[in-house]
Amino acid sequence: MADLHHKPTPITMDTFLRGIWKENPVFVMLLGLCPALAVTNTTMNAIGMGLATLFVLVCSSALVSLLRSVIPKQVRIASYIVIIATFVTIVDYAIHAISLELYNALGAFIQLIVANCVILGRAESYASKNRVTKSVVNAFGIGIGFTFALLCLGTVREVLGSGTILGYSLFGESFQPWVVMVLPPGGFFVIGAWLLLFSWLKERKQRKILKQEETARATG
Amino acid sequence: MSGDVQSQSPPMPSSLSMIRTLGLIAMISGLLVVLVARYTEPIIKEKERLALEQAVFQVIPGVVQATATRVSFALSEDGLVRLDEETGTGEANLFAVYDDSGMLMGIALQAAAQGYQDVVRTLYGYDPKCECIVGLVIMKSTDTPGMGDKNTLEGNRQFMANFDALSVQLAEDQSRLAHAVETVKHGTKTGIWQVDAISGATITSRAISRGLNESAQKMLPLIARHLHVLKVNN
Amino acid sequence: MQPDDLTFIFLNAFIINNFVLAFFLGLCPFLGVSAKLDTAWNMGLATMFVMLVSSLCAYGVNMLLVEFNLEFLRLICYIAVIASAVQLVEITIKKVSPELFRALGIFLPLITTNCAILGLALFQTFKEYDFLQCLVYSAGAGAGFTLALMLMAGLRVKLDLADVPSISRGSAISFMLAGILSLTFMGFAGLGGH
Repeated sequence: MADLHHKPTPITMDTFLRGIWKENPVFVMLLGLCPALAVTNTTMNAIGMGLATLFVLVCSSALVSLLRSVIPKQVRIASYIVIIATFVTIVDYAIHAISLELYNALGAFIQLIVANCVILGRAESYASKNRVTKSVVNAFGIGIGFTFALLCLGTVREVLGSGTILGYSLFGESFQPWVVMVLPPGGFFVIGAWLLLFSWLKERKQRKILKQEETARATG
Repeated sequence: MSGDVQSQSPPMPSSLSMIRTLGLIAMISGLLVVLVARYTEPIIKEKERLALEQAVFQVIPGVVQATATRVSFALSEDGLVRLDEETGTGEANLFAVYDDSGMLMGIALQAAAQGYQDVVRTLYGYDPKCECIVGLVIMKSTDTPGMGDKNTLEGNRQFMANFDALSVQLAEDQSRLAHAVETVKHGTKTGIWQVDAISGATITSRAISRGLNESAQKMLPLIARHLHVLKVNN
Repeated sequence: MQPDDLTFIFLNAFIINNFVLAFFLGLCPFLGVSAKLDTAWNMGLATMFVMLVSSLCAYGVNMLLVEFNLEFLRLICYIAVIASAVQLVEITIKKVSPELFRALGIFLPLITTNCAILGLALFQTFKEYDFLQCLVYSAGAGAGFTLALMLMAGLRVKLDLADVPSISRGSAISFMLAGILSLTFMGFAGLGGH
């Protein structure tokens, strides 16, 4: 019995995949919306922000999980926040050193990764309870899911709003860009549209299952 | 059972361990941050210097980047202070560019004014010989993308041509401009001190020239006073 | 109007670049607490209060950090300051006015994870505002947050009675509404441009 307690469920594909689709932080849990909407006016920014968040997520999960038996319960939130803030500061310096242009485009939103509830949520609900490898794998999945969501938003907004993708023109000179899409309202509209699409898919799937059950009952 | 009892009354006995853990975490994070900051600082400084240099050379036509030198100055009512790269602590607001023989080619100055959504910041080149603005780079503009943002503005050749030779001649008494820099509606430019606005981004165009005007009104009389120092690089 | 003008700073944070509708800061409470008008009002008040306190604290901390050349610790210090400011506000309100505490109490812990507070502290640092400007900026940001929350709550109260398609029920329609609201607020841009 005691063994069972020490040996939690093994790492499966689900540990990783869950974060990408079933528990997608942006589209399903509606967390971390601030960076997801604020910096996704171009695909490049979306990728930059996604990777930065992924890095912070994985590193802080690893450290939190490593220290999980040392951190007393009363000061855990404070500890997590300090750990997260450390990695965010590192990412901030790294991006600044890698690309000045990206740094200027993302601005204060790199530092605002600290307040991204996805990361604190992972630390609190997963990394503090699981082994290092498992938390890292899970954090990686969530991070990829977050980047994927940002890409979904960023690509749509860039294509519609400026007629380009990664800076390359798509439609030629005659295209009149739908400017509002790269402006703040566009962020709200695009995420609203994605959510509509997802809930439509979900409803269709449910209806199909219902129908199958009905036919099964009719024939059986 | 004993574990349960302990976890129910933890605050008092664990206060030392709380402090210890927080101290440990603070140390780890401090160490990491300091290491990264130390490592990236020179890279960032170098990149920023390059970016500014590029912008400064861009606003002064005819610069050969390989041989030209840029010198930063802080200019105010109190006088002109030369800032060296290493020792410079003051805020530089004037960048003089010299050719290989040490002669002044032009001066780059900063300007800013409230645009449509946020402040529009620019860097412009001033040629004391013709007393005119000879180049302009938009450092930051977040106004309506596709109309008043940095790339669209700089891509609009017709608009940028305004700043190839915009007159900012000083008045007789050397205390202000003879004609204030002003924006006129698209297609109605008559004087060499006027800026032909972009139709569709009038507020942004107006912000640019207002920023130029403010900066020029303040800085150019001061530059005229110190021109003999600025003229030769020594 | 000058960019450093106090009136402009207030208007800028209040409506031109509204924290929620233009910077997407504080979206979690914006969607979570805007179902009813009176909770929205209380949440707005609590946030405004914390914003004022933490903005002033952040100003002080930043001054210290710059003094000792420790800017790389800024983020870590800010987040610690905000967390303690929230605690402090909670304790103070509890002591001074238990009635107010009952109204705001449950919202205060939520505010710690509100990125609008940290965003405010970071923006004021980047814009290099002085003490008075920080005060005005945070007041404007808080007022703007409250305004956006109230408007959204008003819309959602009406929405409860509307017959929307089943797939758009819940968050999707809220985002669409927020988009329209944000579009409306863009009309305020250009204020102070003359």
